[in-house]
Amino acid sequence: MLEKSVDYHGFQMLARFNCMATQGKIAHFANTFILRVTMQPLSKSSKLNNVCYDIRGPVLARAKEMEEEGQRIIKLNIGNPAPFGFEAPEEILQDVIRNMDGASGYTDSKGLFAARKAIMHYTQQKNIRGVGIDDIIIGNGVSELIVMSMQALLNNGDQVLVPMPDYPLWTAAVTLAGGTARHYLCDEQSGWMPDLKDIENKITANTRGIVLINPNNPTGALYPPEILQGIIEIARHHGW
Amino acid sequence: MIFADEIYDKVLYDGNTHTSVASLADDVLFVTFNGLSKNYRTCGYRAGWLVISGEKRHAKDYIEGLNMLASMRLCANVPGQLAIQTALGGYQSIDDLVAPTGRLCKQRDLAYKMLSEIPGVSCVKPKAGLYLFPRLDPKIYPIEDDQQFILDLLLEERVLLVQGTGFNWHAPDHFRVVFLPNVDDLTEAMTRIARFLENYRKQHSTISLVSNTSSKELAHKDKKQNVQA
Ligand SMILES: Cc1ncc(COP(=O)(O)O)c(C=O)c1O
Repeated sequence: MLEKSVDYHGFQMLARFNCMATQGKIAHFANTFILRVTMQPLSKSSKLNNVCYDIRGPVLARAKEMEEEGQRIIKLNIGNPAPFGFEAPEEILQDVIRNMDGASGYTDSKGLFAARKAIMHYTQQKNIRGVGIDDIIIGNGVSELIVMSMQALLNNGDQVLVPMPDYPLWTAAVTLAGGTARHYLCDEQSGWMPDLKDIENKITANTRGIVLINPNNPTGALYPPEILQGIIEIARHHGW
Repeated sequence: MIFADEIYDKVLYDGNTHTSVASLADDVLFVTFNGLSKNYRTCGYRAGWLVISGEKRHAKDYIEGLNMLASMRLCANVPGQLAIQTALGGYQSIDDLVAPTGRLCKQRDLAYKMLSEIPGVSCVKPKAGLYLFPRLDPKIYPIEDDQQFILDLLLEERVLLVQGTGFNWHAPDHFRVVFLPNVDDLTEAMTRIARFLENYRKQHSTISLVSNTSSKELAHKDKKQNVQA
C-alpha cells in the first residue's frame, strides 16, 4: 500500500519534471533529483476515517488470495446474480445493442429523456403522485445516487436515521458527507420491522431525515403500509 | 425527509406486494431510489435512479444541490441508461423467478430450511430480496469477534459470508447469506456451514447446551413464524 502511494507520488513528480524537461530547461536536473528525493507517506483523507464497507472488506481480500492459490470458494457474500447463472433478459440486451450507436455522447446530466419517461410511468404504477421528468435523476447505479444524496444534504454534525442492520453503503455515505448515522433498531422478534419507538428516541435537533430500506437488505423484510404510515407520521411531526 | 431505497421492489415471494412509502403522503419530502441491478439482474449495467416527490417547496435549495452534483459528473453511463425503457416496459421475467416454482423462491426455501435446522440458528423467513440474516444463539455460539468467525469459516470450509457487524448490527451474533447459487451449490454451502458450526459447538463444548435449549429454541422459532404469518 505504502509502496504504491510512494510510486504514485513519484510518478506525479516525474510527470511534472518531464513537462519542464520538454521545455528544454532541466532535463538533467530532473533525472538526478528524482533518485534522491525522500517521499512522504501518503495517507488517505481523514474524511474516510470512520467509513466502513465490509461487504468488500478484509475477509474478501483473504478469499481472493485463497482463490489465487487455486482453492475453490463458494461466495455467498454479495448480491450479484450474474455469476450464478442469472442472465439479463434477452430483450434488454438486444435493445441496448441496437441503440449502442447513439451512446457515445454525454446525455443530459439527469439522464436520457426516454429512460426518465419510463421511470416516470413506473412511479405512476407505484402510485407516487406528481413526479415530472425533472424530478428524476439517473445515476451509475443507486450507489452513486446514495452518495450524492448525502453529499448534497449534510453539514458536519448533521444526523441521519439509518436502519440497523443496514445496507452499509448508507452509513458510509452519511459518514463520508460529514454526518453521523444514528442507527434505529429493526426488531427481529417482529419480523425485522423498524421499531418506531426507537426511531423517536434517536431523533435530535440535528436529525435531517430517515433512511428506509424496503424490501430490506440484509433481513428480507417487507414493510406493510401501517409501518410506513408510522414513519411518515414521525417525519411529518418533526418537520423533515 | 424520507430516503427510500427500494431496489428490491420486484423481488417478492409468496404473492407479497410492495408499497412505496412515497405513495402514502404528499406533505413530506421523499427521495425514492430504484434501479435495474436486482429486479433485472443487470448489476453491471450500473443503471439506477432517484425520484423526488411529495412536498418539495421548502427543498428547492437541496434539489439544486443534487442537480449540481449530477452536473459535475456530466451524466450516467449511457449504455446502461439504454436498458431502462425496455426493462421497465417489457416482460417482467423476475415474476417467474420469484413464483413458487421459480429458481429464486426455491433457493430461498432451501436456504431457510437448511439454516433453521442447524442447532442454535434461527432465522426470519425473507419475504423479499436475495438474503437471509440468521441469528446465532450466543449461548451456543459465544462469538466475540464475528469477522474472525467469518474468516474461520472461510479458512475451514471455503465459504465466504459477511458478518452481521458488517451491516452495522450491534452484536456479533448474526451473519448474512446470499441465496443466489443453484440448489446443488446452495446445498453444498449450507452443509459446509452446518459442519463448521458443529465443529464450533464441539470446540466450545456447547453441545450439551443444545439439547437443553432445543425445545426453548423451537418455541422461539414458532413464535417468530406466527409473527411472520
Ligand atoms: C439496499 C441496496 N441498495 C443499493 C444497492 C446498490 O445498487 P446499485 O447496483 O444500483 O448501485 C444494493 C446492492 O446490493 C442494495 O442491496
